[in-house]
Amino acid sequence: MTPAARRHRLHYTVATAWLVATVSLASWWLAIGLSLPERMHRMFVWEGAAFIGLLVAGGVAIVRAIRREHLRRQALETFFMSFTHDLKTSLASVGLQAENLREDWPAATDRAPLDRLLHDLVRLQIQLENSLFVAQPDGRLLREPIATGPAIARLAEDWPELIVNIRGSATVVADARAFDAVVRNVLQNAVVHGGAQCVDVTVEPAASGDRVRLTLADDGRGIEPEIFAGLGQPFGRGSRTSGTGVGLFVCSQLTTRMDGVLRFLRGGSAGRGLTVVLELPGAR
Amino acid sequence: MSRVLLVEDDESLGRTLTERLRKERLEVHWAKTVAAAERAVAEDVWDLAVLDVRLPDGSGFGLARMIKRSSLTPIMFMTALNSAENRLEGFEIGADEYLPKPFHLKEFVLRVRHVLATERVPEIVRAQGREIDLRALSVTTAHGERAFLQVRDGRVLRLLISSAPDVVDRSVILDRVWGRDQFPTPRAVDNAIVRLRQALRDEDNSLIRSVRGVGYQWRGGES
Repeated sequence: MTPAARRHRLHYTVATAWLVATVSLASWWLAIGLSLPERMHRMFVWEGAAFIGLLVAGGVAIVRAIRREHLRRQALETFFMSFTHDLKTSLASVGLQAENLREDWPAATDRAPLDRLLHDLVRLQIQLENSLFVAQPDGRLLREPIATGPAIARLAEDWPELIVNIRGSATVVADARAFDAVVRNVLQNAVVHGGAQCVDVTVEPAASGDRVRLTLADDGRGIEPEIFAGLGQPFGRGSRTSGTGVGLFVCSQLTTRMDGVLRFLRGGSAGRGLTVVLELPGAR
Repeated sequence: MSRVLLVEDDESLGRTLTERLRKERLEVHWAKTVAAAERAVAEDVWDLAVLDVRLPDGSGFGLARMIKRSSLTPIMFMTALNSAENRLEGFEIGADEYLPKPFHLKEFVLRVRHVLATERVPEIVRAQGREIDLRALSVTTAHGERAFLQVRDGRVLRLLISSAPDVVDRSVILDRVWGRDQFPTPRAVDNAIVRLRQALRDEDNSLIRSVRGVGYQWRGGES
């Protein structure tokens, strides 16, 4: 059962328990009232009936509101899933055709527009994936073994002009989709907002022993001191470029949900840029 | 030439992938619906089925279950449904690959090649005088006696042959042949091996060797 479904069931249970408890209390109060002398008895009947009526109406309204909210949420999720499914299929189709064209293009020097198109497609894909993670903050994550070296090398292919040096390799236990999202956001951030040419990735065991530390240091422009502290915060903008800050926020959320830690350090490769340290549980 | 069944309802994507796989010298049949794919599976034998999940007349997961029940064809999902639940369902069915959309052409081709290379076993395997026909799921002994294999036993045999000379762990056999949506015990693997040895007339375990505490190893060689 997903966390959302669990929460929904909890709301129902609490609302129903509240309704049963208050109605039985009111009934008990009314029953006592009926055993009292005539004058008192009439007062208790009217007051009790009004009390029970209000309680029942309130309870029913709460249960209906919860149900309506649940249905609305379900409809939204269905719409969102269907919309993103179609969007991802279209993105895949456009991307594959552009890659096909690029491969068949005779001169490498004339391929710049296609490269830009592929770049923008990667950006769109990352934004779409980020929006899905933001829309489903409690979506289920798996615990899968991921060989970090090959995974990062595969993800780095989204930016063919970026030099990614990977030193070391280890297997972490994380959700493959979330891991991809974190690494892609960090690389995207380095290229688009930092203007990095090179990212040095070091994979090593963390101090605690059962964790793996991935250090991604770029040689880009780095982050302005005044906004460095806000990195990873909801929609904290990490540069003066057009970023919304949602990428690093998603990274931070996902890492926490994977029992990991994400930290940002000033100064990256060759003393400039940004360093992102990602610690995740290692595979035994 | 390897034969690939591609099931994709999106016109543009299906055409691009078909063209690409043909460029890679693979024979491709492109089906746009579950019904068309079911016909193709019933009429022919495929080296790989690449399936989209959301199809106009049903689910690729249901189609995969049908393919797993009736043939030895390995399955690769290629879908925009990438939630944990979807991926889990794909692997529970016993998919060999789960490729989320959008993906790079290079990655798609690499994964197709990987599955084909892993699962590539000649249709006819000769071992110690026996002839094993993996397409017809039959074994003919040196004396001309013919025995037929169950689909699942055929999958186990194919996995052992394709993994040789490595020993295949029982849990790997369970995952790859039964899938994770069924709950057989390792005993199910042992029973399949007993049936295979009977069909192969492998009384001295010279074709399928038991490795205590691990699993099984194919020692018949292949041709």
